[in-house]
Amino acid sequence: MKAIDCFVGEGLKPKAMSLGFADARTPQTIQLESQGDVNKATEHVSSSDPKLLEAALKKKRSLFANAFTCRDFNKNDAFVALAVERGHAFEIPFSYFLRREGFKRSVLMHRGRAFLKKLVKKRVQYRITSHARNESELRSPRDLVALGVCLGLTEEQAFHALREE
Amino acid sequence: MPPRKLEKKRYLLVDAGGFSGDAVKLVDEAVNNFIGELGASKARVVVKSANPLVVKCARGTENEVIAALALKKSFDGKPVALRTVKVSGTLKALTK
Repeated sequence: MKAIDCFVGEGLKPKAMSLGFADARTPQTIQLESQGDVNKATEHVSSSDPKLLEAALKKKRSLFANAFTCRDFNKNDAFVALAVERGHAFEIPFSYFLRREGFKRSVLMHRGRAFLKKLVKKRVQYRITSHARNESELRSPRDLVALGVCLGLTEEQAFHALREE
Repeated sequence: MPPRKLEKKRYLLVDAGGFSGDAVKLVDEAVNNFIGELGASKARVVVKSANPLVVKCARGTENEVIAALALKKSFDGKPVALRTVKVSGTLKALTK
């Protein structure tokens, strides 16, 4: 399997490749904090404010977005509608699940499952990434696939979410 | 027992990143935290060897067990990272 980790922290590419990834990328991330940041969005965007993320998705094309930072991202239909319209892809960050424990992790898994269900239904692109800040947060491709399956994907869909397109 | 009546299993080769403590306790804690006692009983998790770490589980539950191991980040106050390297139906193929 030629798996690609579409989001790892700076300097973690060699370690990710030693774990079995064919490639690992560190896209330029724009953290949207004000309306002015919306124009700067080029590759990867994330925001804690859903309205700012919506604005970026509305304005640009083919962005790679992390919706997991927004409150109630699973209930936001605008993200999915804009992704269908403008060809965006969403990130499923493994490390967000790793950093939470117990009840908080189960709540995040519920939200992630609901969000992924919408993405699959509307045929929106999604990528499972490690989103690791350090080496201890990096996992093998098989681990990311297993998380995808636990979030309601089939094995084929989860493997596909690690491939390049 | 005829082979068709035997329950199928999967063996997982896990990279524990130099972990030197009690592997059985580590796997037990990881699996029980993530899939619970009922899930663990269905998965029938067994640690076959500690170094290299080989975990046996029921076929069909391997993704849950892999996710449970991957989501374990500390044990006895020390950080751990369990990464599944290979999944196989036989021990022989696993260690090839």
